[in-house]
Amino acid sequence: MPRNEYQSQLAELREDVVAMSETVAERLELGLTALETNDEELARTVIEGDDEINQLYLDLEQQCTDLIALQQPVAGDLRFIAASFKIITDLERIADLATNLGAYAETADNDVFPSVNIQEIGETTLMMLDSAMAAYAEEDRELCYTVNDRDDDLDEECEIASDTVVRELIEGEELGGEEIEPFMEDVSRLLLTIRDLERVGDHAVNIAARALYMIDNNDELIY
Amino acid sequence: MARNQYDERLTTLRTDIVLLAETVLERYEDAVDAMAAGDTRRADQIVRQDDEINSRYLALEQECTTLIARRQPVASELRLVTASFKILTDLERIADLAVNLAARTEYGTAELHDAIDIRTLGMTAGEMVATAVDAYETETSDACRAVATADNELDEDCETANKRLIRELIAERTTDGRDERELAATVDRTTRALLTVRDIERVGDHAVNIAARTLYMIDSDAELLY
Repeated sequence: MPRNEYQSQLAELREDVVAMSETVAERLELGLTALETNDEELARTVIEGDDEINQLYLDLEQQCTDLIALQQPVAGDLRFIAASFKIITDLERIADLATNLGAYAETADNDVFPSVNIQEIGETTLMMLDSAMAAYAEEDRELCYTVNDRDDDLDEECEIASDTVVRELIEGEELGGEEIEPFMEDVSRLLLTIRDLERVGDHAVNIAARALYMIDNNDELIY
Repeated sequence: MARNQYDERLTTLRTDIVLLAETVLERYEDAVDAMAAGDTRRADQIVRQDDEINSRYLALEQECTTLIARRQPVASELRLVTASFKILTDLERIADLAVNLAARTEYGTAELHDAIDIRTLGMTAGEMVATAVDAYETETSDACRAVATADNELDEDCETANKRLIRELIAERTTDGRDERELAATVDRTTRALLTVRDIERVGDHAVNIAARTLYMIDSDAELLY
């Protein structure tokens, strides 16, 4: 295969991974909206859309291994392909978490504690994903660190949210017998939502860490 | 690279990954033990040992990419190497979760929370990891599916644990004359318990990832992959 064709295959891989991340970000946004609006139809759309992402994921994985096996890339190119290979796993997982949000929107009332602002936390995760992918696409090492710092903020936001839930649980009014079960469902869904959003942030950090390793062979953020 | 030399490196890769898995699992089980026993000295040790796992992890990852790039592997070889490449990430994450548990033990008391049984939950997840790694080593598809089934049970147990924690808090509502310090301690204890349950559940998820990759490697079956 001529060299320039190889180069264009690399460029295509990068574009395809970025395109996958855009689809995933869109799903995450829809999942958050479904939660906010209690829109069950939207929730189902998010859940059903996961098959498409899964297929996309396996296709891209094939693209990565083909490139490595057929072109026998070295150094920087190999790191780029290996990074892409890992990043698509994180993207697929974020899509799974978006699907979770859809499922929560279907089954629970997510407004049990209005003082917990899920949408704000969701915004942070979307921004992190966006920055991490920009770091990968534009080989921007500064952005990798930005994502990593941002994750500390996200973790704090999530911790505050969990603490708020716990406090509200203690300080709320006494519940009647039949009120307890549905309330428990709602609260445990809310805790799961917080947990899943925190995980989205972790995946964004994984992406940024891989991008930094790709750019500078620097493994500082990988662990 | 000569054929038999290549085969040898594939075998070594698999053995090395199993060895890394054994170290990781040992760390994790130690962390669960330390947490259940409130043993902060052991917990500190687990935190310090994480560097060793990280460097073994990257070296093995390097070997995977070299093995793909050096020679065009046939389908089954490629599946072994790509599975190994992905499984490594899960092992490294399990080690991170062990560190999380250990770090939470550092300022902990002997009992994390009496509403939940951390040791049983934690060891269940550990057994899942052991089964998944064994499936990878021996290429047993049934064991892969068994891990996925076990994870459904683990998820249920974790949810039950969470609900027990929530129920305890609701029960607190009726208690009179609670002071602010006591309240803060309850919030702290519950939050730590919730985080611990979450980490254990994640260990189970990583076990499923390993099993899913292994099944894909053995049978080209993507059933568990998503």
